[in-house]
Amino acid sequence: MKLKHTAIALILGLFIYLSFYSWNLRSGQLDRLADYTGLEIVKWSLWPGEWVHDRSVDFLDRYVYLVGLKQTNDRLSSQNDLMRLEIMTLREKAEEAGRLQALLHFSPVEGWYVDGARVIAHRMGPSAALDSIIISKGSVSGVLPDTPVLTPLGIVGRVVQPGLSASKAMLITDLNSRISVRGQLHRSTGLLSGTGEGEILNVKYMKLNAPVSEGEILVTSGLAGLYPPGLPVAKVTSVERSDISLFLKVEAVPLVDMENTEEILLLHRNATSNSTSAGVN
Amino acid sequence: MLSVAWWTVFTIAGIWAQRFVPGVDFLAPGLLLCIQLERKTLFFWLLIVWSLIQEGLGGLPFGYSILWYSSIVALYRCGAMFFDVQSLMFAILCGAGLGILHPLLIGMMAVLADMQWTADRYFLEGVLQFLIFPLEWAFLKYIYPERLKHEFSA
Repeated sequence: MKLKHTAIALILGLFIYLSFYSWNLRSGQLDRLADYTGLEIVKWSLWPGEWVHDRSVDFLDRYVYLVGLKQTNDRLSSQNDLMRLEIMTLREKAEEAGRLQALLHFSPVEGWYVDGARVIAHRMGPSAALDSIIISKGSVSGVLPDTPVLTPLGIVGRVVQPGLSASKAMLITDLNSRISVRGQLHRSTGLLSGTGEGEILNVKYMKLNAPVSEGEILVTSGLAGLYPPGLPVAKVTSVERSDISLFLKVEAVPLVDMENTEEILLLHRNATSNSTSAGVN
Repeated sequence: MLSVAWWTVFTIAGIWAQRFVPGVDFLAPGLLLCIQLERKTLFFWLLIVWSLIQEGLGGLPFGYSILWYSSIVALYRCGAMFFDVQSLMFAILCGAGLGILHPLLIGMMAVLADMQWTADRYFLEGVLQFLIFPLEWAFLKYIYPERLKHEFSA
């Protein structure tokens, strides 16, 4: 009799679980609930410790060690980051201008604006199946799913689950990450895919006759619409031609040190460009 | 009230521990302790809050933590038929069960969500879970205040 009751309870439990699982897959309501509650609890649990850590490190750096030198270094370092980003943008624009001179109709790149955020934590918890980071901004700051995450050095990944004031972003090293890229010099296109934490990246579907060289920087192509074109992503480390494949075997390394990144930039579309594209669509 | 404060501090400590050891659940031993203390109301609330935390942190569609924490209940129920479920030996068996279950559950959920995954990482995390679970459980049992065992027992 007890066995019968256990079996009924088990089947009923499984039925309810699968019903909720299927409903959530379709609607995403439970995922949103978890993002808006669980992620918030984690953020506010970690925040006091992070704050104390930051303040103590800051105090030690500024007042115990090299006071003036550290401040100058901080200022120059932040200036350097901004200039690096500017150089990257200008380089891309210069390359682009050369190519576009031949074109009659030039459609400008959609407008984006940048917002800063902190990395609160890296992948954590038993159900963390993605190589991910948790960042300190969420939907109240305008973060949406697929918001690009980058540093002045290059692309880090994209937001997969935004919470209220914290979000989860998938890194480009994750197995499920795919980015449409092209070579900065030769403009050959391919699909950059992650192979796991700390592993090299693969560039798929780059044609056998495509010109690409070791050391070439891969930038976002903008073809998929998730990232604006021209942002640096990875550096080609090896190019192999195969006799049995239609495509090159290209390997690359990310430009950003994912493990030690503490601050990131979020790229948001300008409201005007959003409304324009909505109008066009 | 003190009980709520104790479990809140434990939850925060568990979240911090998870920050430093990715892939390992530091809250699960607390749930086993809660079942052993037969605190049904507290167990219910902890299950909800911790499930939301783990699901919020995870990258899979909602459902992993429900199965994960349900398996502790199932292990406890099955274990009660054969073992002394208050003993360290049972905590070791429970840790082993969860250690084996971790890669299997991640694999199953990843396949259901049509995601790619590599088994190696999760096997290693399973081993870590197996090692950490009984140690943390023993530590929790040691530090859990005697007076809280009788506070608003449900």
